[in-house]
Amino acid sequence: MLGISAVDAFSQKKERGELPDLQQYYKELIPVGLPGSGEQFAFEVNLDKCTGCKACVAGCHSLNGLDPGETWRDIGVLQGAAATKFFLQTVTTACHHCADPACLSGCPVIAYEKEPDTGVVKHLDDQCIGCQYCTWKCPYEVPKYNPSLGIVRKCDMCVGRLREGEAPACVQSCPSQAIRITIVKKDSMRDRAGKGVFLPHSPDPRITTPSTLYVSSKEIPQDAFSVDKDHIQLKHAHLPLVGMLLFTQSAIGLTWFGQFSDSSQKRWIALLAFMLVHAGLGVGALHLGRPQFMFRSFLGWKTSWMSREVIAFVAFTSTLAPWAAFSWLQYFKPELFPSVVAQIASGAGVASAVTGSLALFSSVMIYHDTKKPCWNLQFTLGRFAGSALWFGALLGSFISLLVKSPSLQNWIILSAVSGVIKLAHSTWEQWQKMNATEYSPLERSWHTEWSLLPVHTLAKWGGIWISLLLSLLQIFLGQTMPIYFMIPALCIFVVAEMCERYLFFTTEVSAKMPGAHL
Amino acid sequence: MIPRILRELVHATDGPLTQKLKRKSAGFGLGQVPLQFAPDSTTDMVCGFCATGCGLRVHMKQGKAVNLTPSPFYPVNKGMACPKGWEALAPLNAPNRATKPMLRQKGKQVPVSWEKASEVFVERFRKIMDLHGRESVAFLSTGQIPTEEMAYLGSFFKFGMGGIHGDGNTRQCMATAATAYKQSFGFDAPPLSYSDLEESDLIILIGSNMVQAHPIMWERVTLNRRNPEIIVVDPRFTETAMAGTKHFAIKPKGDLAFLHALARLLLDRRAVDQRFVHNYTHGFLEYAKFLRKEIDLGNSIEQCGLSRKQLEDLADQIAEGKRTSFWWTMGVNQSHEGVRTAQAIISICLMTGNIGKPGTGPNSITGQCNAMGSRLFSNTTNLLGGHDFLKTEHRKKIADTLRIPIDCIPSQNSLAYDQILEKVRDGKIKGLWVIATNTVHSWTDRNELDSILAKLDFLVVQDMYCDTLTAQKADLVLPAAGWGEKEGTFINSERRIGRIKQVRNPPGQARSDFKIFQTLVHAWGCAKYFERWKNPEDVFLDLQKISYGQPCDITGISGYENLDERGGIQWPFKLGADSSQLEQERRLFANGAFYHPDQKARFIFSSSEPVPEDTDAKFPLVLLSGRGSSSQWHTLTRSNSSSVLQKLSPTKIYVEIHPIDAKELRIQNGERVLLTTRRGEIFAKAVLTESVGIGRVFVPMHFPEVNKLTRTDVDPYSRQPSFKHCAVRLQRDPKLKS
Repeated sequence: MLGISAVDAFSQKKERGELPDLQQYYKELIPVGLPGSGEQFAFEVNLDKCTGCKACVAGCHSLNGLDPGETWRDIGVLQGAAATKFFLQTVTTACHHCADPACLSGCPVIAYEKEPDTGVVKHLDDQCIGCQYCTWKCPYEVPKYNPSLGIVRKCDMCVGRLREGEAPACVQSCPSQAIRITIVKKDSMRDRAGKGVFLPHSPDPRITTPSTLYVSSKEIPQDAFSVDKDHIQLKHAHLPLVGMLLFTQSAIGLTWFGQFSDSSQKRWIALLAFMLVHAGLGVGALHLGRPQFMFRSFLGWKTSWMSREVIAFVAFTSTLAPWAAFSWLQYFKPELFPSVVAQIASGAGVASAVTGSLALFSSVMIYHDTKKPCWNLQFTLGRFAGSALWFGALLGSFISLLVKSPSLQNWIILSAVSGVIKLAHSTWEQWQKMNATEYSPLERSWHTEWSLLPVHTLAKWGGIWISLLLSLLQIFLGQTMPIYFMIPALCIFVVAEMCERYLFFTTEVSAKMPGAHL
Repeated sequence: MIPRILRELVHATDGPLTQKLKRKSAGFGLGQVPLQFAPDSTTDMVCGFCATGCGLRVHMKQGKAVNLTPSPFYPVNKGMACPKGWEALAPLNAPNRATKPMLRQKGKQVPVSWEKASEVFVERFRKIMDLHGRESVAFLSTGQIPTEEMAYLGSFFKFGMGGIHGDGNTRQCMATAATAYKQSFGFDAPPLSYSDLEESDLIILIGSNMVQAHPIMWERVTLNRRNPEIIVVDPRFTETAMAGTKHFAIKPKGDLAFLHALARLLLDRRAVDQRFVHNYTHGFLEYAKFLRKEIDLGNSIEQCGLSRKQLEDLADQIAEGKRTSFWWTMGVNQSHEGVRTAQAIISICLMTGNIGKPGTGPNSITGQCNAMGSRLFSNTTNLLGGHDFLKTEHRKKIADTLRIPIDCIPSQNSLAYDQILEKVRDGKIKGLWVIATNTVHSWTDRNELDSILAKLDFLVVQDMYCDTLTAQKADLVLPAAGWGEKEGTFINSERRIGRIKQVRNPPGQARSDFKIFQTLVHAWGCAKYFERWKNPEDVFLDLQKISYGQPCDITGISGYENLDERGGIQWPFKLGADSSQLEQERRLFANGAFYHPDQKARFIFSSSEPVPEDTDAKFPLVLLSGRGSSSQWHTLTRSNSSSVLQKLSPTKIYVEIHPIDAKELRIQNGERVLLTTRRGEIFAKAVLTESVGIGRVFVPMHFPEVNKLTRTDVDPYSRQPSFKHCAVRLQRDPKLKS
């Protein structure tokens, strides 16, 4: 633009119709410049002005060219609990462009960036592999999975518009000028979040330090609740993950017990574990929207438990492989460097038990790190480790029976002990949920289990009890136990575990932004 | 370059997915728009949902509409739209669009050619009329098609086919306001301009959930810089009540009593604009006498359920001389005494001189995009242009203008919607033609209606969608183009005439209603009467001529382009009138001249009548109905065709009930409950909320089962049904265990 002054450029732009006509309406609603250091852009929602007309949702959809049915804004309604003075408040909500974005820290492929100058949390669509972990990490349900594209997409505060002096789509489209963009100090964001100041009946702001300011001249009763508080619904079942967790955990359990088994079983255990973990990882890949880019998933190891899990599983498979290989080498070619082979085999075996444990721990942490009450450390660790133990012991018994090992009785005792552990943990978890405060996530989760999925819930409990009783029965039957007794026992157990994991995903309940009547 | 490719492979910052959401400056004053929908031209037109009549800027790419934004400078909406406006193009892509004429053969609808369809249309209707006379066929039309098409329909049916009876679904929404205005002012003339919302000190909304039903009119309220008091008179604490400054939670159908009490208090305060009343009105003394003699303040206040203080405070504010405007919609119109209620509003405005000045007026808010086009030009209740079928000089004027024989024009009035259906029930009307409305879904008492429609010999449904509840019953379905697929004009709530344009092609063999009428006119053999009407603008020019000398005189408009240039034009717009009519926002009656022959407005009043179906021990609750949300439109045929609007709307029918009533009935939030009236029963999900008040329940009107409950009580003057009040019983789903 050599030789053209800024004024000329402006008038040329105007002549070409490139200056937006709406600018005159919204110019007061966006800041003049970029945020300074220690500051960022934020949505400011004036609740006095929001009427819940939903134009912001539709305007965002049209002005950003979203797919049919895809929306980046939502409208909810808060209702007062006090019968004396009736309170009703509509709430518009989108991405809060948090100071500590959980989507970003959880992403295994670094598909999120927080712009250093604006503070906007941006999603890199072409980097995304569609693992959807961010949809769990974000307490506000902001990143939305787009199944036809196989990736997640989210609000970017129309930062490209802001940089050109244009207002974001929602700001442009609100008929009552309830949404504006403001510049906030990050310190004050932390301060507010630290005090728990955000919006009643919403996720705890301490988790991610959201930037959005909800302002109102009226006092919002702290006991106001979302109008959909009684609405219970199932979350996505993530069936590939159900399979992935059960397969890999059974493999990990096998490596634990396999270390102590005799050599006639060991090679079978190593082989089975090797097959199971690969089956698990294969099934798990089906969960991804774009599995061809799975190789990127180690990138986020510094912050993401998902990346760490991937790395741990790579380590697990790379130790499991030599364990299996050398155990079989011992069997087929016992004459080949017997002591070296034996050492490598047992070393790899121990290493696989260690890496397997790390992988299991990473799996647990993936869920724990979402800060969802239903997926807390105790619940998740108990479930996953319990599955590993019991699966490992049962499969060990099975192998032991097949190879007619003398240690079968020990295996069966192990199964029974594992079963007792699993039952005790499940009962404890259920007890916690049953006795949680009314309308708390744990209580809602329990309610959802029994009211929407009673069959699955019964199958889970029935399966656990039957499997345990069968194990006890086997202890008495001992060596004489026939295989046709073992197979149905194992099947019942698998079904029970599948139901348990299915419930784990579908009946997860956590705090969310206010919703609407459904 | 290789390192960059590698880098992108491992950490991609751009690519096809990123490009999908890329935005670019598009020109046309739009600012940034999605790259994939960047337009090569734009065109402005008005929205086809409600009668707010917002301007929408349609983005065109290679001759096809790809996106839209609200028109930035249109005087109605000033760059804003509600979610329905934003999604206006989506319903055109619906998979259930009617694309072929369908004829019922051996009980099943099968596709036929247009030739066959029009042949059957003519043959069947002719046969019925030959056997049973001119009054044995009727049509039911709409407030959703352009004025030109309505005029064509009404003219073809009455002047060409020789039928007598036709009415529109505007009977369900605007008949009350139209009748009230006509009786009080001498013409169906809503006096408002939307700027009155910005210029008022005291805005009184009666039976209007404006925030949900007319969000862009609420935008105009928010632009009011006079810090107005906004009083929301509604039995429910609606979103509008939340947004206003005061909520007057009147008893259901306590509105007339409320207005009488208010008028009485104003009279007692001598808040009467004597000069105005003397110069421009007729009948004030009788009105004052009625208020003093017949209106017992205590009784009226009791009847409307408000406190005396609330009413006195309001009367004080009006008496202070604040610019007071009343705005009403279906809460008033859909009532057993809607006309008198609307007239009670009008009378208060006349008495206090709150009319013809900025920020004042008894202002009715219209429902459908072209309800007013239907009121003035559909040739149903009135002869074209607000004329009278019974007056020879009017028939002559129309005959001369259209150059048709005067004998073609019936000299008797049409039956109203409810009367047409009664005649169908009695076997007197045997052929019915339904155009762009969904009678089965939207009319009252659906169970009864089903049995009525079963009596028809021939039912023709002309619609955008092939599967509406009404179309499913049709013997012949004529596939019609929708908004955005044809040309014409709409008239909005503030009398503004705006254009719609063709920005998409109709799907399959669907045709614009205009073309369908042209086809049928030929098949009927009366094409000679309509030779002048080659395209919609020809009709518009004739309607302009017809409007000459009427209050709705639009002879000054030079054609469609003129409407574009001026951001729509409000009637009246007379040829050769002074320059004051060039103002973009105008209200009526600034000069105090009303449309009765003596130019004076009338005070029309009567006492409040008891509701036709009061609650009793068997049906102890009042059933209220109304708009569900801003993302829902009427019978949902269009709004549910947008994935976005559908996502923003409740998916299943629910009933709002007060926690105290719910407790008594042992009903829990979210539980399935059974609603029973004397006419039918339906299931709904219970939503416990104090907003509805004790002793009442509320259901959103959009769901198809709702009208199994409602009753066909009509206002005696407007014949508009009272959707807003009947007695109902609620109970837990009997199948649920206690």
